[in-house]
Amino acid sequence: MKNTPNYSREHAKYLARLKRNKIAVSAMRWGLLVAVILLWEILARVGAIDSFITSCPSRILDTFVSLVEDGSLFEHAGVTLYETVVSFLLATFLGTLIAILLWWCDTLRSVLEPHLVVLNALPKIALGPIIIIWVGAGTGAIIVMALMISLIITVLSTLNGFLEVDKGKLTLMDTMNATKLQKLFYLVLPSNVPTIISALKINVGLCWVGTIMGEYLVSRAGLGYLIIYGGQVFRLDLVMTSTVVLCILAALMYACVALLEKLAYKKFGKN
Amino acid sequence: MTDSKLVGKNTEETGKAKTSLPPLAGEEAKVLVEFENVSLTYHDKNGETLAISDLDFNVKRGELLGIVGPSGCGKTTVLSIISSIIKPSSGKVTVDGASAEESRDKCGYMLQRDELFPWLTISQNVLLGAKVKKMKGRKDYAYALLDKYGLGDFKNRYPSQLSGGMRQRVALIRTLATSPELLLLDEPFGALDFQTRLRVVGDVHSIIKNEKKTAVFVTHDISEAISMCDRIIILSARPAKVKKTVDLSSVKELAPLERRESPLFQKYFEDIWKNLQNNKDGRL
Repeated sequence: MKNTPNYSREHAKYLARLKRNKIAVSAMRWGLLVAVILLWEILARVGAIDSFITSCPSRILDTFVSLVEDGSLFEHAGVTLYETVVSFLLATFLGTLIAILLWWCDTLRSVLEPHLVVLNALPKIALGPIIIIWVGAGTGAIIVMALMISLIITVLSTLNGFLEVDKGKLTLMDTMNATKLQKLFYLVLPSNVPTIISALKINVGLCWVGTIMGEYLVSRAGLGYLIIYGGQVFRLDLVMTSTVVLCILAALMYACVALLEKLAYKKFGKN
Repeated sequence: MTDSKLVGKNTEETGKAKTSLPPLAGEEAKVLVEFENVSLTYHDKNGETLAISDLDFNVKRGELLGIVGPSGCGKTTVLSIISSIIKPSSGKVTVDGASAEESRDKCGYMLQRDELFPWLTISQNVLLGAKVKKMKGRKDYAYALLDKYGLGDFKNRYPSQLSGGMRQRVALIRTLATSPELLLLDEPFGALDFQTRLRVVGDVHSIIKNEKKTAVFVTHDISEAISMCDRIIILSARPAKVKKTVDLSSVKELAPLERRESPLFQKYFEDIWKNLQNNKDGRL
């Protein structure tokens, strides 16, 4: 789809309009962000809002710099990132594995399905005290918490994708006398790469929720700990700074998965 | 000990001799597929259905046999039985002198839709059957087929980059790549538009005849059956039985498009149409 030079003038105009539109939207996007930050800062400076309660962009920046200087930011962000990435990878791996097992064995699936649905409906934070008692208050408990939140939804959505594999293609595999294992590796898994990746996208968000919730419950380090601690000692600057850092990290991780999705769709996308 | 071993061996041999057919000779050697009193009953929650009852027919080597019948009469089921995806409730099915189960690798199946995997290239798609059946060294043969039938330049393309007719030809080559003795074609043109269909019917017919394959072709399209086949059997409505056999040997040498122009075409068409009509109404 390369540009050909012999477009009509009308089409050139149309393309120019599309481009103008795109530029306008992205200008407004960034403009909105800058405007909110500026408004916040100005209102705080003129005293219209109490920056002790609301903090303000310049104080967030100061806190950020001092946290970077004493190195504690990297420590806390590192802890949270580690917990999130580990629980994310575990949830994806275990979730896919369990979905394969349930796809493989119809009886197992029929037996477990209602239990999974109930577990999925349960607000996982309710399990917090149990997890702390069983796993101990530490990184382990936080990872288990995040896993609890994301694992079951991964299993359910991946399994759903497995069960919706094109019947015609399954028949084709039957006509080739394919074994169940061959069906899994040649058809079911490759055709579900998009499903698995969209599950990943949901998981990124859920794992952050799980990790921060876990850190609220058993806080010793991490961004969730900074937020809770800042709230308790009324240092709103610390709370806001941690939240902003959290926001940026979550967005970056999401962008990585979105990139992966783009690559996978190129190869495994629907025809 | 030696004795008991010998005895064991002997019984095994006699057992084998009983089940295997007598040495093929003359007319019998020409038969590749044989159905003898085959019946099939389906079971589901709402009860049981007799889909096929006492079905008798055969397919000769090198023959292109058509099966037509009212929709839902069990045409596809017949193919599934030949390729031993479904086992009949009673009766005997022989493929190349052995049971359908033993001969299952001798069948190549072609479905209504091409079912090419969109994430594999054309060459990977074509070799899928060989990969599943763990057959080695099929690459050269499959590539030769692609070259021969005008798809050589598309080996590294993806199915989405090909037209419907080309994709259907790729599907046929995927079926041929495992060198099956017997091709089972289950309405393989149903998903194509009419013009493409006329062309692909011609292509597939010439490929089957070129490669000297035996084929069973299931369709509900009477004119397609007449333009492709050497012989047609008409099945009755459920439970399926052979209602009539139509011999097309007088147009056998013609290509599908030429057959459509033959004066005999209309005669065959009316003959088959009448038989199908009676079927649907349940009248004589």
